[in-house]
Amino acid sequence: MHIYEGFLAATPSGQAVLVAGATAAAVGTAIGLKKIDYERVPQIAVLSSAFFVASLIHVPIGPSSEHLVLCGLLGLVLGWAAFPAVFVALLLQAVFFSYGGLTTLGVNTLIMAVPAVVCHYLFRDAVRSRSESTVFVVGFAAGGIAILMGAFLAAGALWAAGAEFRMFSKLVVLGHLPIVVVEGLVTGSVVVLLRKVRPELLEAPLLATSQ
Amino acid sequence: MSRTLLTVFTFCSTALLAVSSANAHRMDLIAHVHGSEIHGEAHFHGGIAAKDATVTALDPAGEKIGETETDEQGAFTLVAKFCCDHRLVVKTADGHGAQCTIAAGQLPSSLPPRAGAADHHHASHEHDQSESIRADLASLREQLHGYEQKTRLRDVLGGIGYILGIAGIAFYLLGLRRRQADQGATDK
Repeated sequence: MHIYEGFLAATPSGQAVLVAGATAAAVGTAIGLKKIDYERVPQIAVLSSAFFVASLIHVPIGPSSEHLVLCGLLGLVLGWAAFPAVFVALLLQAVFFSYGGLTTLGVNTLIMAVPAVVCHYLFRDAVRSRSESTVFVVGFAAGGIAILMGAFLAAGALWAAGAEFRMFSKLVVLGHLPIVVVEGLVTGSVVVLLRKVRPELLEAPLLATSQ
Repeated sequence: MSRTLLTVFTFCSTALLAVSSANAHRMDLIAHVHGSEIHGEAHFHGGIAAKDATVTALDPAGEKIGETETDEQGAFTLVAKFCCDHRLVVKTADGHGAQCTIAAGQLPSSLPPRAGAADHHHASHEHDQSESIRADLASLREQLHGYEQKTRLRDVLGGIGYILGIAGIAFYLLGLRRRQADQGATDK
C-alpha cells in the first residue's frame, strides 16, 4: 500500500504527483484537525497507534506477505480525524522503519486516509444497525472497500506518474486483492466487538450479545 | 475511553520494564589469546567496567587451573599453563557473573596438555581453529539477530510513545482553545 521513497521522484510527472499529493494531504489533515474535539483525542491516538502497529504485522499469503492497514476501521470511528491519525502513523513508520518516506508522505497519507473518510460517509449510518450480522457485513464491506479504494488510489498515482510506472499500477491492485478479504474479516469482527463493548466509539447504541 | 488509555499505558510500561529488567544486570565477558596469555574484559550492560571481579579459569573437567582479578577498567590477564579448553568464569562480589570459553585450539600447542583432558587438540590444531571461528560467527549471528529483534520492539514502543506524546500536546492545545472560548463567553 505504501509507495516507496524515491520511486516517483525520478520523473517530472512523478514529482508533480508527489507535490499534488502533499498539498491535498495537507488540506485533508487541516480539515481533520479542525474537526477534533477535546474528548476525541484519546480515540485518535489509540487508533493511530493501532494503524502504526498493524502495518508491522505481516500476514503470509501464498509466496508473499501482506499487512493489515485498518483504514476502514479508522474511517468508521474517526471520520475526517483519520487524516491526522494516518499522517502521524505514516510519519513514524517512515522515520523508524523506512516504510514509505518523507517525500511520499503526502501521497501515502491520501492513499490511506481518503478511503477512510469515504467509508465514514458510506457506512456511518449502516454501522448503527441493531442486527449483529448487518454490523459485521458493514464492517467487512468498510474494511474491504477501503483497501480496494486505497489500492486504486495508489495505482492511479503510479499511472499519473508516467508510462514507466503503469506496469506497477496493475500489480498494486492485484497484490491487494487477498488482503481485501483478510482486512474485511478483521474490520467486521472489530466493529461487532466495538458495538458490544464500546458502542459510543461508533456513536451507536449498545448491541446486545447474542446469548 | 480512559480505560482503554490505561490499558495501553499499562501494556507499554510492562513491556518496557520486562525489556529493561532483563538487561539491567547483565554482564559481558570477552577474552582473546595473545601468545600464551589470555586477555579479557568484563563489563556490565551499558559498558560500565566490572572492576575487582574474580576471574577463574576452569579446565573441561571443571577443575580450577588459574585465577586472577580484574583491574579498574575491568581488564584482566591470565597466563595459560595448559593447552586445553579454558572456561573463564567472572564473578563480582555482589553476585553478578558471566562466562566464556577459550578453545584449546587458540592456545599455543607448545603448552603441556592438561592431564586427563582429551589430547586430540594437538593432532588437528588448524581444524580446531577454523571450528572455533565458525562457532564464534554462529554466536555472533545469533546475538545480532537478537539485537535486531530487540531494537524492532523498541522502535514499535517508541512509535507508540510518540503518538501518546502528540496526543498529550493535542490535549494541551485543545484545552487552551476551550479555556479561551470559555473566557470569551464569560467576558460577554
